[in-house]
Amino acid sequence: MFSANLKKRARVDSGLNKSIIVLVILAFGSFLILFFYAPLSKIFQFALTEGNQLTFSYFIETITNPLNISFLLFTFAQAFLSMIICLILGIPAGYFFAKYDFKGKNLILNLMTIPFVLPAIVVLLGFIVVYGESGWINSIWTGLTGINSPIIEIFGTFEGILIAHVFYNLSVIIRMTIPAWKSVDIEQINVAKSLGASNWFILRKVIFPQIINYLVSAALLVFVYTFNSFAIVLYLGEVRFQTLEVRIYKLMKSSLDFNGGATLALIQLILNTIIIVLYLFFESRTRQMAEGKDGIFGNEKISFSKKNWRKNISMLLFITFIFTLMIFTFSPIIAIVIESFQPYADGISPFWGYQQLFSTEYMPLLSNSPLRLLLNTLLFATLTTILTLILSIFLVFVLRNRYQSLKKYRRSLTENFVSYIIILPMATSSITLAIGMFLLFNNTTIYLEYVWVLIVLTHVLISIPFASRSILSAYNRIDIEMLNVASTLGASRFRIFAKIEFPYIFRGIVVGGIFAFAISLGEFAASNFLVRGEYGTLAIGISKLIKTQTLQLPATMASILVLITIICFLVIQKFGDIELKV
Amino acid sequence: MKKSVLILLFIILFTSSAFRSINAIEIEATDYELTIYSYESLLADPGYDFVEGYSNYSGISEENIRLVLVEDANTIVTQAVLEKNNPVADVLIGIDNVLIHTAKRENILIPYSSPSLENISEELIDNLDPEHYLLPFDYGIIALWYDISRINSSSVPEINNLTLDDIISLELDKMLVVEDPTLSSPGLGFLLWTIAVYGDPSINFEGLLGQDWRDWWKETSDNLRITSSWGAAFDVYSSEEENRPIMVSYGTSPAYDVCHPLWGVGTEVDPPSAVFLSNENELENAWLQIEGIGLVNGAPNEENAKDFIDWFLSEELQENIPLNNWMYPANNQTEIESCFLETAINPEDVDILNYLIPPNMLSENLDNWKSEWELEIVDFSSIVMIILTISVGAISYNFARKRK
Repeated sequence: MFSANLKKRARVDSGLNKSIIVLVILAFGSFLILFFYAPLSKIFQFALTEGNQLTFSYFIETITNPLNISFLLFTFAQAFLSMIICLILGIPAGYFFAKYDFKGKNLILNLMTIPFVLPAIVVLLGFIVVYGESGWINSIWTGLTGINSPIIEIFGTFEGILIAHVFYNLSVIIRMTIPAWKSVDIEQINVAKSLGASNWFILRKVIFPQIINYLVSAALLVFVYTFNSFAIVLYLGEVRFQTLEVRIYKLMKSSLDFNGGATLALIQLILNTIIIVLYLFFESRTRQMAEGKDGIFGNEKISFSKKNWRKNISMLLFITFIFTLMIFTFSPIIAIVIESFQPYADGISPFWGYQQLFSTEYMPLLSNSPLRLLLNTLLFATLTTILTLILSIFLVFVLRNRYQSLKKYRRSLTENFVSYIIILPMATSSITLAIGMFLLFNNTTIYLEYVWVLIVLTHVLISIPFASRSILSAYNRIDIEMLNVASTLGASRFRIFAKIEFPYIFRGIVVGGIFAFAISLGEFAASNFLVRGEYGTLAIGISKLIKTQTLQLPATMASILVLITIICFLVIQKFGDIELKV
Repeated sequence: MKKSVLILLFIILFTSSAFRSINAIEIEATDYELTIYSYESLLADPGYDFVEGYSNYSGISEENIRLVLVEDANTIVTQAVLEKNNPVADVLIGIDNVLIHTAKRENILIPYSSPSLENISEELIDNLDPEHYLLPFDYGIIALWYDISRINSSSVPEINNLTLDDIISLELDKMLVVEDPTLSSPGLGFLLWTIAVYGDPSINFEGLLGQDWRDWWKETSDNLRITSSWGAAFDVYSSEEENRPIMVSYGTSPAYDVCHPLWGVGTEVDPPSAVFLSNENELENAWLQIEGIGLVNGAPNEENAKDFIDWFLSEELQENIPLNNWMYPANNQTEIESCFLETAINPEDVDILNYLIPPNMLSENLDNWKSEWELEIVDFSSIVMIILTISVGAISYNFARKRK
């Protein structure tokens, strides 16, 4: 009788479970359909139809347009080169951090990651302050040599874009190769050594096969980020260099060629999907490899011995190299803060920028006062965080709701389906998201009166992959058996979630939430495309002021963003490790 | 414990910021009685506050007049086109005699025959828009403006008798800043200047010289500095370390250095800057830019907009044009300061190239010309080839090694 009761209860419970799952899928699905797939289909419509007829004429026109071809090639070329340079600098640095243990290592590592989490527009501003024509480096150069022409030109040059991209993405390689070096099996190396293998041979045949998957997945990630680079190329590239992202933006906004822009966005989406699928493939292989190996390699102390002077010199070179990288990554950030206290003209107070926050002098240019921009930014970021978290928890719930039938577990149809529909938002660039929203909603009240809703939703779509990733990795640490036991003992689905799952994923939720907050805080490409009237954000404000000679006010705005980002980042560090992966 | 305090702090921060910014958004729902779109340098240096001026004239309070400033005239048009089904703006200021073709094609304006037109010369009106979709408020020629302290007749003896060809042969292009014609109206004016001078064989347009305008840009593209707006070009021009003392600007620009109330040097001393035009076929050639003000099709406040346009073309405003917008005022009753008249080139004294390109030819070819210009500027095929070779090499090496 007792068991019959239990069975009955289990049946009720599983019915409840199913309805919860259905509800969650419905909520998540309708969000995606309404704000992702519908806008996306609008892009398809603009790209592939004329009237109601399917046509490939725009497609052919776009793909044969020599300008588009050269920008496509440029996009590939700069992403490829940025990736290579990041690898060349990042792999040795990753090796250093993996092998040696020293005081302040984590702090340095964390500080070096900050550029990556900073808004692109802030990075750009820091770059202009340090490397610009009248920036620090060129001023020092002129002062030292008396030559009145800049040593580095970042505007309208290929190298300017490359330096900025390397600065921005270097930490991805460093962080992602540390586990690679740590996973190297020392035993194999020792065996190879005892059999008389040369160092070069060991590197090529023993170490390389073990780290290649990590390297490829990290490199692909940098490739994706630089392939979709917007703000940096928009401002540094002038007309000569445009990524597809910039080209699409200009077609839509300056030439009003909606069909051309949509077609190019479609092409970019296809390319992105290919890269992302490749990335996911290599990334899953690194996870397989990482299993069961930990901490074999590493934690050596930095030491100088009196006898081995060659080792000392190479050690010294190594430290100098890391030190140079540190200066390279920190200087633009420090420069922004210093610039915000640098009076732009004689007789101006160092706090002028901060006082300007409370004035309306720049109102016509910024469409709002700087303080309002700050408040808008914080509001959008807060809303984005809340929505992203709800949706990401839904998503994780759908993906991992398999405790009851673990033994006969197969990847269910829903899971397959869900993982496919999730890849697509990941592969969609910010500009594509924005133009989809724009094309779908541009004649509705939501666009005309409440465009901030669209901005927030776009931010949510951009953040979901990051947030769900960190929640998912927390969820994966849950012992599924525990859920099964709880269920057998008669705990309801909700109770299991509240008592077991939630405490486990709490850290993941905090990290993911802050990540969403930080992303929304500095998001520029999509907001800049969608923005209307007074709903600007700080990032947009900075972009409007970046070309004026007085960098003090934009530097002030950027300093605020830097400060908030660093706080966010520190909190993440408190709660867990940062996931740079998508 | 520590963590929960941190979380609590964050929640407080979130909610308080959310709360306050919701207010920030709500407050903005003011009912504007007039919305004006213009570019950011309009009447800006040293500055005449025309919103205040119009507020005093009309009695509409300043808070109810909304001025939206965008980077360049081109953005005014695109913004208005994006909003054309539900217009926000009532008046657009700054669309010129080239952009008008886009504006008319996109139907963003409606004709308005302001009574103030009686004081504006027929010729200007006809050159801008005989149908009155756009009414001229100022004009001036595009010219190459240079800083005399850095480049002058002793360093370049021919400076007062140059042709566009000479810019290449004397390597002046390495000192020149131009604006991107796809984004900026003076930049576009200069592009049309080169087209009118050299002609375009692909549409059998002779121009002055019967050559191909693309060749000039091909020759110069590596040496030019191209900026997105006049303001950005001026930043480059005025910072000495850039070493670019020539920029595409206006024939009135020298007046800026001489007559500016704050730093003008006055007419007694030698002027700090000058302009040159191009002297093909013994003519003094330049492109004329006429800037206009127009009434938005479907303007929410049409009556106020019309009243504003009348006022904008009246002497009260027009007398501020020369020394604040640094152009010739369209209203011929306006008194112009003698300093300005002495230093700014009068369009009537030069040979205007605009007549070579009739309006229908301009509107048919404009988009094409812009994208072909981009094609001349964007040329990095060599770099791409190198990279492709490297990557193909690397891949094949990898394959070969694996086979072993």
